[in-house]
Amino acid sequence: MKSDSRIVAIAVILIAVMLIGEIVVYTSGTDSFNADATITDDGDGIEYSVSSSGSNIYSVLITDNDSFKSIDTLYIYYDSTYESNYQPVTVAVGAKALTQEYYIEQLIKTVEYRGLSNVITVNAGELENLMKQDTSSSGQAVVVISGALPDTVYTGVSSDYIFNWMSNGGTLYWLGSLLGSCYATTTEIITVTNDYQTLFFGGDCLNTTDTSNAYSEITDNEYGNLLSLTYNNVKYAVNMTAMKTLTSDCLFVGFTEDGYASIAFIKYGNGMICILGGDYSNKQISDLAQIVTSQLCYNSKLIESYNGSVTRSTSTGTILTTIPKDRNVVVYIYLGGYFPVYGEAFIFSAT
Amino acid sequence: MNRTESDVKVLRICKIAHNVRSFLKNPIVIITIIGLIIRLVIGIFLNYNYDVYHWGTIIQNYESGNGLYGLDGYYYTPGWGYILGVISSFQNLLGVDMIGERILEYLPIENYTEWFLSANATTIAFNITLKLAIFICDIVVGYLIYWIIMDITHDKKKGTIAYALWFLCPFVITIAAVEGMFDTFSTLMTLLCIIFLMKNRYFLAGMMFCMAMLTKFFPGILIFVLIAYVLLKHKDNIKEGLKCIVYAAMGVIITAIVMFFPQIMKNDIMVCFSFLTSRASTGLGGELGAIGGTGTIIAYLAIIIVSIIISIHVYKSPKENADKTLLSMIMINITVIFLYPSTPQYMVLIVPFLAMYIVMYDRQFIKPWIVLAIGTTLFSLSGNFTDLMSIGAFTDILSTQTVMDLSNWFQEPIFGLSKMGWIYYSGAILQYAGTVLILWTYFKDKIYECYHKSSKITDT
Repeated sequence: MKSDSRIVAIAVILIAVMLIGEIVVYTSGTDSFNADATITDDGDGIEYSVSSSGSNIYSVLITDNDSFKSIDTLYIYYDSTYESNYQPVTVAVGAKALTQEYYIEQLIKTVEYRGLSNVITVNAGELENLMKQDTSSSGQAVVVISGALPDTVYTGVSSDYIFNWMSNGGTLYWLGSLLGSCYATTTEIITVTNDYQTLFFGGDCLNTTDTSNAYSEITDNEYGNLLSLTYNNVKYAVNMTAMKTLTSDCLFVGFTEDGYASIAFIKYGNGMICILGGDYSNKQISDLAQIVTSQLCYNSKLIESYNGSVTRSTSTGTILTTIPKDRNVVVYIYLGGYFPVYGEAFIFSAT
Repeated sequence: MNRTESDVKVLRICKIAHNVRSFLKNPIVIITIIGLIIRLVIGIFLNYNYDVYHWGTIIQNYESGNGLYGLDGYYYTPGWGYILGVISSFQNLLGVDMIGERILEYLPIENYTEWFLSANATTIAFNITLKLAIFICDIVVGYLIYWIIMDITHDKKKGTIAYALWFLCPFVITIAAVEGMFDTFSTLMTLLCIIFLMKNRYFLAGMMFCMAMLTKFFPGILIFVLIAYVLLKHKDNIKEGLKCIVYAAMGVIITAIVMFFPQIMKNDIMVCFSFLTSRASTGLGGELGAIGGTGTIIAYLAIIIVSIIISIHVYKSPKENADKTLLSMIMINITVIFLYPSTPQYMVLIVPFLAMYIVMYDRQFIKPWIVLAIGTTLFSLSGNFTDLMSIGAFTDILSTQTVMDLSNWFQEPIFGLSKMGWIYYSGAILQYAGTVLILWTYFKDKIYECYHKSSKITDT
C-alpha cells in the first residue's frame, strides 16, 4: 500500500492556503493605505505622500474649485413609506439584485473607503427639515436614487424647498430618471406637467431620446480618465451644447454620445446640480463615489496631476505648481486606478 | 587509487548531469513541461476578460476593507475568494501594481448583448500571475490522478497516460490559461477527499469535501455516493461505518465554521449562498427568469434523486470492488449533474475521473474524452478575438483597433448566426454530446443486455 504522507502534505498546504487567504481577505482594509498632502512651505506646490502595504498605482489630482465649498456632509434620501420611481435593472447571473436599498448600502461603503465618512440617510420628513432652513447649505449634498423627489421638497413649482436649498449652496446628485419629471407621495408617483427642465436648468437640456450607450470620451478636460470613470451611459443625461447656451457655469466629465454627457455639474444659485446618466448600475455607484469624494464641481479646473506606483512603502513627491491662495483647492489622492481601494481628499480653503 | 579533489568534483557534476538527464527523460516531466509551456503561451496571449476582470473586482473589494460580500462582485461561497487572497498577496509581493483598465476603444464590444463581454481589460502581469496559481493546481491535480492509479494498479504507464489525459486535455488548458477559471481547485479538493476516504482518513476527507463544495458547489452533490462508499466499506460493521461518517461530518462542520466565520460573526451567512437564489430567480429577471429559475430547481431536484439512486447502487455493490465502484460512480454522478447544460469550466471536474476510468477500466471512454476535448475547447474559446483584448490594450503586438476589427468580423452573421454564435453553439452541442456519450458508453452494454433478455422472454 502506498504511503499517503505526500497527499496529507498537499492537504495541509491547501488548508493553510485557505486560512491564510481568509486572514488576508478579512484583515485587508484602508489601514493598509495612507495618503497625505500639504502645501509646500514656499507655497509653490503640493507635497504628497502615498503608502501601501501592497502594490498599487496611485493618482494625485490638484483641482481649483474656485469659490465652491467642499462637501462635508453627504445626505442620501431614502424613505420606504414613499413611492419610488426606482426602476429595477438586470444584474449579472449570480449577483444580488440591485435594489434601491442595496444601491444605497454600496454607495455608503464606497464613499467611506474613498475618504468621506460623514454620510447620513434621510427620509422625506428629514429631507424637508434639511431643505427648508433658510441658512447657507454650502457643504451639504443630497443624493437622490429613488428617481423621484418626495412631495415634501418638490411638487413641480419654483417655490419648492429644493430650489431654495440649492440656491443657498446645497448640491443635488441626481440619477436614474429625468430630474424633476415627477415627484413622489406616500401613495403614488405624480408626473409633473409643467416645464420641469426650465425649473432646474432654465431650459430644455435632458436626454429624452433613446441614446444611452456612449462610445467617446469627453475631451474638454481629463477628469474622466484621471478619475478612472467607467460608466458610459447617457440615458437621462444632460446635453452639453444645450446646457452651454443656458449657462457657462457647468462642467462635463466622463463619456459622451450625441452631445450628451455621462456626468454633468451645473451651477444653481450658490449650489449645484450634478446629473449622472444611465440606469442604475454598480459602475454608476463607483463613478458617483469618485466624483463626490474628489469634490468635483461645476467650476473645477485641473491644476496638475500625477500618476505613480507604490509597492510596500511610502512614495513621496512634490508637484510644483502655483496654488492660488484665494481659491478652494482640492488635492485628491486615490490608489488602485480603475480598481480604487483607497481615496482621500485634502481641502485647502481660500484664505 | 586516491581520487583527487577535482575528480570528486567531476564525478559529482556527472552524477548531477545524469540525474537531471534522467529527470528530464521522465515522461511525466516531459508532459508537465509541454503542458506548462502551452499554458504560459496561451495564458499570455489570450484572456477572457469578463471573468478575470471580476477577479480583480473581488480583490479590489476586500483590499478596500469590504471583505468578500460587502460590495457587489463575489457571487460564490468563500473558497475561491480566500484563494484569491493568497494570489493577490503574491501579486503584491511581485509588484503587480495594476489590475486593469476600462478601454475606450473596446466599449462597442459591450453592445454584443447576447454575450458576456466587457470592455474592461486586465493587464498581462495580473493575468499571468493569477493563472500561474491555477497552472500549479493543474499539476497537483495531475499528480493526484497519477497517485490514485499507482495506488490501485502500480502501473506507471497507466498513471502517466492518465496524467497526460488530464494535463494535456485541451479544455483543461483553455479553462485555466484563457478563462482563468478556478474549477481546478475544487477538483483538487474533491480528489483529496476521495483519496482520504480510500485511506480511511475520514476527518481529512470531510475537510476536503467541505472545502471543495465551498469553492464550487458541484462536488456537494457527490455526498450521497461518498456516504454510500463509506457504508459499503464497513458493510460488515455498519456501526463502524456510521462512526466514520460522524468523523467526516466533524471535518465538514469544523471547516465550514472556519470558512464561514466572518459571516457567522456578522450573522449574515445567507449572503454566501445568494448565488443559488439569484441563479434561480432574479439573475435572469422577468418571467423568463422565473421559468428558468423553476426549471433550474426542478433539474437540480432530479439530479439529487438520481444521485441518491446511484448511491444505493454503490451501497449494494460488492465490497471487494469498492474503490472501482466509487471512482466509476463519481464519474457517472458528475456526468448526470452536467446533463443540466453547463458552461465549459464546470466540465473540468469530470476529466480526472474520465481519465482514470479510461486507463484503469475501459479504453472505450476515450471517445467521449475526444468529443469533450473538441466541444468544450471550442465552447471555451467562443470569446474568439475578444480574448486578445489584453494583448491589444497593453502591448504593441496588436492594436486595440485590430482587436476590434477582428471581433466585429466575428460578429458578422453566416446563415443567420454570427461566427461567434456558430462556435459557441457547436461547442455547446458537442460538449453535451460528449456528456451523453459518457453515459451511453457506460450503460450501452447493460441496455443491450436488458434488451436481449426481454427479447428472449418475448420469444419464449
